[in-house]
Amino acid sequence: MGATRIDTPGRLLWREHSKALASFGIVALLIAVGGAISSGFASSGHILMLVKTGAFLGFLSLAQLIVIVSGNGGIDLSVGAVASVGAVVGAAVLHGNDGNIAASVAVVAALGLAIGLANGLMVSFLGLPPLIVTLAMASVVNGSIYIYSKGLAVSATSSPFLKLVSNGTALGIPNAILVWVGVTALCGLVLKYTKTGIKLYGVGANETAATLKGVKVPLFRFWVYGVSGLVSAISGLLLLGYIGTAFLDIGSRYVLPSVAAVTIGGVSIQGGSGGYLQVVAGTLVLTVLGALLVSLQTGEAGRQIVLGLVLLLLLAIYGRQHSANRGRFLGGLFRTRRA
Amino acid sequence: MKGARVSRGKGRVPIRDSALFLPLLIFVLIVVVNALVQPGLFRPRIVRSNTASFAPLILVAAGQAIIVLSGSLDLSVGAGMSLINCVFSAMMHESATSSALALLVGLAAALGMGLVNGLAVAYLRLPSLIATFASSAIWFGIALLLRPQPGGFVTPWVSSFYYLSVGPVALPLLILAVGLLGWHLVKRRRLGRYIYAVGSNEEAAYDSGVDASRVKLWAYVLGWAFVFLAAFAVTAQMSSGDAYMGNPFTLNSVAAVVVGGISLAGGKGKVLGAMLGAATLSLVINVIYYANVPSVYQEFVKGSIIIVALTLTILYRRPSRRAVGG
Repeated sequence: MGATRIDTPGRLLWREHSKALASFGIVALLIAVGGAISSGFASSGHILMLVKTGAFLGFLSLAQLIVIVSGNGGIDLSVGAVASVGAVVGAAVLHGNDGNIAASVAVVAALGLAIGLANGLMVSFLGLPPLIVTLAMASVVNGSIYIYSKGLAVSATSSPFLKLVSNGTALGIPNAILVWVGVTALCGLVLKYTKTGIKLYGVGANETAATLKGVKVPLFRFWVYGVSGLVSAISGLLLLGYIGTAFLDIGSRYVLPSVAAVTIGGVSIQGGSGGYLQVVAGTLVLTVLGALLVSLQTGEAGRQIVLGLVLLLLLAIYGRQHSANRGRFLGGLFRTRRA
Repeated sequence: MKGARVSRGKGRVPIRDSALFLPLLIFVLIVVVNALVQPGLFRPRIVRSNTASFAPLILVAAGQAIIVLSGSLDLSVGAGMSLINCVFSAMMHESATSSALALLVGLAAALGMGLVNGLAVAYLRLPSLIATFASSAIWFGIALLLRPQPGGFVTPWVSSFYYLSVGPVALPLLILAVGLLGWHLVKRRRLGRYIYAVGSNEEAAYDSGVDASRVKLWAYVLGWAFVFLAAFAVTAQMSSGDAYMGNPFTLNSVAAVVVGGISLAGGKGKVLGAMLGAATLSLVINVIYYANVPSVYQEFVKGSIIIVALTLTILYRRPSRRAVGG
């Protein structure tokens, strides 16, 4: 044993934010590489545009984060479907009219909360595996939209105010980015300094300890899934403002990236740790990497291959988890013990 | 050894407590419902064609089941099937040698993909969910390189071979039986018992002298042998190549595994259960079609059925677990 290290405030800060910093470093590196290849890539206008696109993945990744942090195999594969429902129902209530915005937000929030709570009910009280519950829920929700729209495109559109929120700019900065910054700051405060936030990490890190502290763990997780649904649905509404019209699988393509963004930020998929700033960093890595691959003109095939390789590389750097064959080079790959 | 209670031989476990009881019950139920809406379901010709069209999902579900039993998951099986399918369509020409070569390369690709996933999960210790999501992008990219647009040509013998039947036994059924037999041979041996042991409690298995990482790696390779068979079956059905072809198989295979009564936490359940689960899911689509339910309801009904089956599995398992006392 070496000398006991004293946790100075600086060290604590470093330990807390080193993963987010590493991811932001990767973002900077990717932008630099992009700038070296085409001069427009590193221009401030383009960077703002990239961050703005990232914001929508960022919102859905927040929904993903809280469920993952709550532990016990927590994951929400229905965030995309719930976002779609938020966009489609939101558009239907809006009717392109700003006067309906309050009603639209209320309906969408209630619907998202209800779907999320249904997930929470099955996961937390019935003890069903979150992966498959939320996957099946995605089928049910997507199927419902399909039935509602009779398989046709939904013609409803967003309203001017919603467009302004998702697509407008203030002082040259896209509003979506401003919203994202606000959400990030709010998350930092809520997750770190409120009772609810502290409970969330406690439940995820050690269920037994949380129970002994008097937290009703199943009830708490039930609400975590509910909030995840609510955040997803509102994200869908913002996505509607960004894209302009709602369509059936408007949210589907964000599902697995939202899980990837959380992990790339260095958040353990086993729960109990990881802040939203890390997720923001992970989201930006994914977004900038995607844009860089597009600008390299590798075609879809090359883009997918590089994306997969980079994801594996990033995971290998800081996404590793505990295993039984621990503490050996490559987990004992080169040992000769017989299986 | 702790956590490796594999029942050898028959008896002892009452049928109601078997891991197969509920999947079988659900399967029989859906068969009955299907028979009600589709007269002639049991006609040999219908049985044969159903087996042929269900075989790919059943096979890939068996592969997924082995991986899940070992405590991991594979979200790249669908993209992997696409890749193998594209290898076939890129390499198979008129000559017999090209077909043989394509089969060999396809098998090597399948085992190679299993090996890469297994190494990433067992030795690099990446979470299997994310690692295989990442590798699926790679498989899909390679498949797209091989076949940017759907199409191409696969020698006709593949298809005519697949739809061959020896007396009343159709070839797809034979493939399924051979696959199941292969798994039963493995299950009885050390590797099979270790897969269950590592899946139910990795730490305990390691402490009792099992090289847990190696077992997890082997589970992936074994699972991907089934993915190869599934890709062969699907190629025979389509007779062409398509890089997007495998997409639905990924999540459907996971759903089949769960409906088949296998715990996603690993270590509990039977591969045959997953195969029944896959057949059940396929029959659901059949029922929807023959019951004249508008096709827009398909997705909704599929999701609902999974939730109902899942709830049944858990609600049913609760009391029996208490009775067994483990």
